[in-house]
Order: sequence, then structure tokens, then C-alpha cells
Amino acid sequence: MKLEKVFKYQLRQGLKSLGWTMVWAVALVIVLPFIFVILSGGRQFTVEDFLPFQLLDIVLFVFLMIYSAQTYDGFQLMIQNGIGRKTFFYSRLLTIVTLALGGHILSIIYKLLTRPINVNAEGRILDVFGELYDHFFSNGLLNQLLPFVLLILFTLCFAASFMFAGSFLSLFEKKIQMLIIIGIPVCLILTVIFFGNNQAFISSFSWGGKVIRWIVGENGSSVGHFNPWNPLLSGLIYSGILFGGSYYFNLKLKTPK
Amino acid sequence: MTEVNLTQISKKFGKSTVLKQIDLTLAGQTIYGLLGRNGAGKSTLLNIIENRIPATSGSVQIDGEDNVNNDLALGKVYLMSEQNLYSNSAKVDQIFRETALFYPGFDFELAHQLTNKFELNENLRFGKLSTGYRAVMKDIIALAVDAEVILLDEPTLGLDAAHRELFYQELMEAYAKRPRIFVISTHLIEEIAGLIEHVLLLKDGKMMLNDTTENLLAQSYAITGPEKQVQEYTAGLNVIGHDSLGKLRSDYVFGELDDQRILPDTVSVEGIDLQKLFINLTNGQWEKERA
Amino acid sequence: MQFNFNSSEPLYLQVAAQIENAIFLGSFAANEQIPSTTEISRDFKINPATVLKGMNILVNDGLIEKKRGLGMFVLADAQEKIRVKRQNEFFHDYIQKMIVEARNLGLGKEAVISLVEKGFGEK
Repeated sequence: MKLEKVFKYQLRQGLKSLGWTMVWAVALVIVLPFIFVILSGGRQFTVEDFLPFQLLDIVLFVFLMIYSAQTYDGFQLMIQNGIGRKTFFYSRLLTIVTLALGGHILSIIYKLLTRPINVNAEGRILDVFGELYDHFFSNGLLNQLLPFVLLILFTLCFAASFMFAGSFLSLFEKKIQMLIIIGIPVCLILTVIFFGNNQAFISSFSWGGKVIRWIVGENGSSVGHFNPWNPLLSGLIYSGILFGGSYYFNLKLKTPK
Repeated sequence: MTEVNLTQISKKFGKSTVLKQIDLTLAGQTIYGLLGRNGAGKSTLLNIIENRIPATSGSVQIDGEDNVNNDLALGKVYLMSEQNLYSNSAKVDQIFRETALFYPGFDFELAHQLTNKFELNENLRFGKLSTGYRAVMKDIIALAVDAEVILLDEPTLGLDAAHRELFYQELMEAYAKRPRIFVISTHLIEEIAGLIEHVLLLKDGKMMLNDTTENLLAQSYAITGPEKQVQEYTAGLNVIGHDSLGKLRSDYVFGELDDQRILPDTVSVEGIDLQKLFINLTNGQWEKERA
Repeated sequence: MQFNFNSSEPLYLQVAAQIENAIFLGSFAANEQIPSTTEISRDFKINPATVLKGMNILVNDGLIEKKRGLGMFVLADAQEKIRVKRQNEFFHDYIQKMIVEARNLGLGKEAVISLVEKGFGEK
């Protein structure tokens, strides 16, 4: 396997794309409104108005969504260069994990740096996961570490979902892809319309609600003391299944289709 | 030296069978001509060798290793195809550099020489190139990579006459300097008649011929003369086709002639060229299987 | 030089014949180097193995020789050898064929001889 070569190449390409996405995001979210305010004149402004605390998180998720879903172009270039599907898949998985990890570390550094001047910050670096789980352990370090691990795992579950969808769609030609992309939401909406008044259907969601509460680790105690092992286990299973499915679809890639 | 072995390769697309139990060995320093009419399965065969599409059954081994998702095996082969698998937004010189990552030993000097000769601007993006120039770029890469097996699927499609000539000249030079396995697939035989040492002829998904050009031409004849005498002479021989003009007739024979038969003064025996052999073997008149 | 890929004559024989003719006509002079296999191969889009096979015929005929690392050179007596060979073949290649054709046309011996004399400008 030429995993190392391919990984180096894909990581460099991925970092380049992520970098550019961040530059554009900063330009669109910070610089442009800033200039606009100055040009429109007079109004009092503070720096923190233009520093969304979640900026890099949003950029990272949008980037990973697109990056993970794009399968076919990468496959075509690799097979043209004599790289098989397995190496292609493993390298992409490694790249996504690396970018998710690197992106979040970058985001944390950004948050730490901007916290002193950012009134929106409200102090929390690890967001939702910190809020839910950072009092579970008696150990302070673990209380910081596990939410971070969960954040990464959640990001990977997110990426896995799009990789799964992208890999699946890559098996079909454009027309069928469009049919699937339009068809599935339409089917879901129709299902809701038809069964929306059906009591049995609605009550099945209360069962679903229980499952979700279990996954989150809601254990009756107050927020912050939720059990982090439940989401950890669920996340591992979920991403395992979806990455596994992506692998399966990747092995079926071919060109021409 | 690299060897490619195909064992019982079959390929079905839906209900139609495109390749039927192909056995084939590519070896040594040889230029193969993969011939066949449009739709004979030439591209499909090459795509299977480089594992771009799976075979329905059978296996491809490159130096004894199965090729399926095997980087080591696939890296010994470069397939230049009509399909464009490079990114449209990549510049030509960037594509060269990326190719060199995966095919180390990529000959940049040759590549630059060739872009000059073909007047291909390396700063252009792949997507901005015309069909002909996309083929030129892929041809240049095929000549510059250090792979042991170079598969060229219709390498001159979309090239003008001058560029076709130039490409085949450069191919000869590259081959003379570093002999390796080339497989050129084309339906334009005249272009490559002097190049190919070994003919692979696909017809109806089967490998109909697999022999050296020399052997094939040595047993291909045109028997010309008055209709009656020609037909008497060729009766029972492997006649693959004929032309006639009034009472004058040429029978094309593929295979041994009968030394026992007396050749009438009015009848002549001549060799035929590859193009004529190809046309007569593939146009459907010839149904007799080769013994 | 020109090669006819549609000819019934094998390509390597054409290569040998073309080089031989060039030597005979003095295009490749005695002791001079002839174009390399690669050059001929490139210029006329002929497989190098085919070119080499043609050249080997000339080596065996004693018309050219290989100097290691340098290439193929025309031997000093090559032109003379070709002249002798062609003289020997003249009867078979030209005279016999001419007589066959003359008979088909109903031309007698005297008529042919007078035509030959005319050709030489003697009448």
C-alpha cells in the first residue's frame, strides 16, 4: 500500500482547502461587515460584534460536510495514478480525522485568544459537551478531556454521515443521483403528511425520545453530570457503522460508471 | 521485467457480454496493437487491467500479484484513456507534479520538451484545454511516467494530423530509449502498422488473434486471377474474404497454402498488409474458426 | 527514404532495401555512419526491432558494420559489393521479365534488340 504517500497528498490538499475556507469565512463574516459599518459611518462599534465565538467551529463543520461528501473526483484521480480503493478510503479517513482534530484544536486556541475581548464568549470553550458532562468525574482533567473527545467523536459522526451519503451517491450516474437527492426528502415529507395524525406513529416517537435520552446520557441528575460513556459508546458505534458502510461503497467505485 | 497475466477474464454489462474468457499475457519489451472494431471491448479490457472497473469473472495478475485494489501492481501500469480523470481546475504543470508523487521517476525533462513540441501551455488549467490538447497532455504523461506497462487507449483521438505524426515519432523514440510494454488500442490500423510487433485482435468479446505481426503477415495472402482458376486454387483453404472486378477475383487467404496444388500461370500470390487482414477478419464474412 | 506500410513486402526487407539503395547511390558514403536505429525508428514510425532486423541483413551481407558504442558504419567496399550483386541479379530481375513481356506482346528477338539499341541511343 502507498498509504503514506496518498495521505500526505490528501492532507496537504485538505489543509489547503480548509485554510482557504477559513480565510473566506473571516473575510465574509468579519472584514466585510466591519468595512460596511465604517463606511455607513458613525455608529459605535465594538470589536466583539465582529468576532463570532463559534466562527471556526461553523467553518470546520461546513468544510467537513463538503469534504467528506466528495468521493468520486478523488477516486478518479487516485485510480488514474495507480492507487486502489482501499488505500484511497483509509487515507481519506485518516485525513478527515486529522482535519477534525486539528480544526478543533485551532478553534480552541482561537476561542482562548479571543475570550478576553469577546463578550459573547460566556466562558465555555467546549460548548455543549462541556456543559453537559464536565462535572461527571471528580477529576478536573477528565472533566475537560472527555467532553473534548466527545466533541471530536461528534464531528467524526457528522463527517461519517456525509462520507456515507457521498460514497453511496458516487455509485450512481448524475441523473439517478439527482433522483435520490430529491426523492428521499420528498418521501420523508409525504410520510409525515400521511402519518402525522396517526396516534401510533406519534407514540413511536416517544420511544425514540427515550433512545435519544439514553444516547445523550441523561441519568436524572442535573445538567453537567450526564453520563459521558453513553454518547461515547453510541458515537463509536454510529461512526463505525457509517465509516464501514462508506468503505463498502468505496470498494464498489468504478470509472467509467 | 514486468509481466501481466489475464486469466479467463469475462465482463458483462447487464445482459450483454462484452468480454468472453480472455486469456492473455503481456510480457517482454514489446509494442502490442490491441485492435478491434468500435465496441469490440478494447477499452473495457484495458480498464479491467488497471482495475478501473471490476471483471465479472477471472483475474488479472501483474508480476504474480492480483491487481484488485493493489497499489503496487497498479502502480506498474499507466493507462491513458479517453476519459478525463484529472481535476479540471488543476494546471498542466501541477498535474505533472502530482503524477510524479505517485509515479516516482516521472521524466520532467521529457515532459517539458514535449509540451514545447506540441505547443501545450503548462499554465493552462486542464478544464480549459480542448479535447485534442487533453489527449496530448495525457499522452505526454504516458511517455514520461516510469511505469513498466503503458496502456494507450485511442491515444490520437482528437489530435490533428501533425500531432498524430509527432506523437507516434515521440513514442518510438521513448520506446527505443527505454523499451517496456506498450499496448496501443486503436481502430486506425494504418497509423500504427509499422509500430506494432504483436497483434491482439478482439472480435465479439473474444481474443481472435494473439500473434506477432510478422507471423500473421507471413500467412496472409491475396490470390488474384481469373475467377474460376482462383476459386479452384483456394477451394478448401481458409478464405477470409474476397474482392472482385468483373471476372477478375482476389481471394484473401489466412493460413497455410496447399503446396501440392499447382498455381496456374494466370494466378498470382502476394502478401497483404495488416489493414487488409484486419478488415477481412473483422467484417463478419469470415466465420471459420482458426484451427 | 520512404516506406510503404501497405506493401506486401515485409517492412524489415524494405528497411534493408532502402538503406542498401542509399549506399549504392552514395547518400551514405563509404566509412560514414548511417542513421541510428532510434533515428530511423522515430522518423519513419517503425518499430526499432524491425529496423534492427533490416540492418542485420546488411551486416550479414557485409555492407555495414557495427562499431561498439558508436553505431553502424558503411564498409569501404559496400558500394562495389552492391554493384556486383545487382549485376548478377540483372538477368533475372530485368532481362527474363522483359522477354516474358515481349513474347506476350508478340515482339521478336530482333525487335527487342533494336529497342535496346534505341534505348542506348545507338539508332
